[in-house]
Amino acid sequence: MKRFLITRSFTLLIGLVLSSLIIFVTLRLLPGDVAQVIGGSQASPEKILDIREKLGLNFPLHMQYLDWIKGIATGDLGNSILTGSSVQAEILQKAEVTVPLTVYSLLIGLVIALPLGVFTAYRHQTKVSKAVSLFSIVAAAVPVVWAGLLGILFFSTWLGWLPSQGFPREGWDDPLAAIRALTLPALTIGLIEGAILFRFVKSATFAALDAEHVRAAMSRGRTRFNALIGHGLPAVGLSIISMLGLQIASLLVGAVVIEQLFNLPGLGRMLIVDVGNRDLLKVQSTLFVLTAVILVLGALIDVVHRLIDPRMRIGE
Amino acid sequence: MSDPTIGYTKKKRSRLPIIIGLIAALAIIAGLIYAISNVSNKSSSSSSEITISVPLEPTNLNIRETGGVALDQVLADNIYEGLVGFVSGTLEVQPVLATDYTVSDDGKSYEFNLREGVKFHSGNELTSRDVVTSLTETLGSMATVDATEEHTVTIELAEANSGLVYLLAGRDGLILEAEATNDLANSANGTGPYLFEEWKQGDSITLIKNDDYWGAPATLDKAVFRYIPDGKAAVNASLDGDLDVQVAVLSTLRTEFDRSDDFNLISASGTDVFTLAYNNNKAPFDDVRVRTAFSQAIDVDEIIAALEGEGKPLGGPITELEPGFLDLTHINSYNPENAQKLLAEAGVENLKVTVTTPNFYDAVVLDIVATQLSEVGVELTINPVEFSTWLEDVYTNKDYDLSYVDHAEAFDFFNYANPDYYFGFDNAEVQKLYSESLQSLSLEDAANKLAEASEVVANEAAAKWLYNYTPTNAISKKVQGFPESNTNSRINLAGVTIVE
Repeated sequence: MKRFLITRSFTLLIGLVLSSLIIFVTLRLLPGDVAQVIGGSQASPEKILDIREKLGLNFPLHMQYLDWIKGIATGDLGNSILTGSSVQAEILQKAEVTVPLTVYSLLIGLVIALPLGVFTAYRHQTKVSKAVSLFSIVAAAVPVVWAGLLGILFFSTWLGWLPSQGFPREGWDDPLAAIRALTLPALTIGLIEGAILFRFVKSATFAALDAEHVRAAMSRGRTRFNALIGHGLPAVGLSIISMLGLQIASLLVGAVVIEQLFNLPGLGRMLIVDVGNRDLLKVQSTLFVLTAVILVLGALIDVVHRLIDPRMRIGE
Repeated sequence: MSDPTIGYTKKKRSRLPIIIGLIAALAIIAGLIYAISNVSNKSSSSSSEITISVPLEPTNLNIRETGGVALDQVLADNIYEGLVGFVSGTLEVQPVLATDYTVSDDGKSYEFNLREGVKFHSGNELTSRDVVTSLTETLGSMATVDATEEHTVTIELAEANSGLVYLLAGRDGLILEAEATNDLANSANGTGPYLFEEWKQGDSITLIKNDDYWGAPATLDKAVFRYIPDGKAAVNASLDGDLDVQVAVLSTLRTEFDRSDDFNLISASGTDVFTLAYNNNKAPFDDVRVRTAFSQAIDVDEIIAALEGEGKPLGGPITELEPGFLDLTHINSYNPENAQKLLAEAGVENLKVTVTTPNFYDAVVLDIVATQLSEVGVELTINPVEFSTWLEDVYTNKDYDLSYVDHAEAFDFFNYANPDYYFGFDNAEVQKLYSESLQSLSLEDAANKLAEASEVVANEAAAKWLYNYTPTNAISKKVQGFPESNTNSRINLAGVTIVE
């Protein structure tokens, strides 16, 4: 286990360094310049030069990179070029929307996927199961934007039950309004996510029903259902945990799109605006944090997997 | 270690995970039911709070450095004031922080008497020193600014400039506190009727009433400017009852308001000129015949019809609100046959050109232009780019054939008298007329010279002015006194009230 932890941390570190390089370099390939964005379409070339000088944009690139990495290593994500405000503070503020949205979506996805997945695998011959499976194929293939528009049309325009956009200005000081604001976006992502997870849960349950240890439990006199719940599902749970690691990235991407559609002041919308304004320092730090979250979660899931699955510890 | 025993003993399993799972699931379902059942229970806002949505957010609040009208729209008039300003919703100049002013006979010397008892939001009194510091910075080498007495400021111009009062009523005339140490990029300290309360980036700017204001007190306790870049989301916000005013409703979404009785749709005139610029420096657009052909090949009426009438045809660069306006629509009006002839004369057949445009404008306009140009044998490629890319490629490097962008600023005719501007339009007569306009001693003479210059610009087909944008604002029937023109550049909240 110790050796595993060391090698896994090492690959995590390499992953972080590589991604920081990729992020830094690809952003520098973008045309356009923040000094021009500040100056706008009336500023003289002298004024633009002046702004560039003030912002320190004339430093050589490798210096800028080292400076940035040094900051990150010491826990400083830098300041926005445009507003001078701390990137950390900005990310934390916007995460108040994006993180709950992601968690909310994931929970909705799980609430949909787990019971339905187990049920349809257990009773796979019934008409209801077939209908659910068919619906999941459709739902998993629907683009987030389109699903969101349908949701707005149905829940907001026709039924008037949920707000179609916005987040309360008081934020989480008004928790009920905040939850209401996130409900339709979370339902949108959660439904699609649920459809993807559902298919996964279903096939894992299917495999579990057929597994030898489940059949053995049945032969000892347990009912099929009892054997599935008691002996089959732990294995299903394990595969779901590793699946979740992969899905977190897609959940975050979904959040970026949905925030634009529902006018939510989260990380996704912030990124789109900052890229447009070429606030590269802020963009690269935000992207790095998101990448790091995904990489670290991936590593954590690997560790958890090892801890709870004895088969992976064989030979240690 | 015990011996392994043979046989089956039931292992005690904790039921905790199942219980936690069940509770979580129930909580979510309960939350959903609550969220859905709690139908539109809007906290009834106090009667004097207004929420206004605006599409474009400023990149930061530094009014000295950051370009674009998004800043003036919110901060000018309401927070920052100048010696003079515009009467709300117009481009008529009126005294604000000055009580009055006099101009010398040669038009080079201005004397302003400052209003007494004006306080900055920081609590400090406005002095002539603040005015001198502010104007020295913005006017630069154009003028020498001096405080002759405690409440008198003189501006000595190097050369007469009849446009000075417009300049002072605009961005460059806003007076900031000389001693202030506040972070200009994230806060604002002016003399206006509203105080800056908060900027939530990506969301909103909030202003609150300044109880210490020198003039007529603010009529609202609080004003929230919400930034909603997505046009559909903005309309939804209006219909949800979240907004009192929605500035610049997308023309294609206007019919959505048919579902609601709560709003008046008002078309606001403005100074936005959607300009199809020709790169006058670059072949083939250095040939006036080619520019004329392009201008005559485009039928602006069709474009305006496609925008559901949200625009006025324009024959030159100056809009009706600005001094020097002339109806020039008869110049280079739609005439595709002549356009074809001109292109043949200029020897450019099967022309292929590209138009570079920021990607946030309605695509329908350039689609129509492309179709119309194809009818005279020109193949137009549309290249939508991010605004920052447009600034680099077109504005700075002047590397383009055609460009399509909204010139929102008022009094921006000088760009046609400046051969270094991205238009690359270099015409001695225009430059002469423009400088004569600046040197005129009366505003009327100045306007006449400007009109003359704009006619030359139109005849030379320096660009094609596709339309003067007249955005539709959705204004709640509860709101009274909201400015009805120029709202894309300035939203002066003076006199705006909410009646329940």
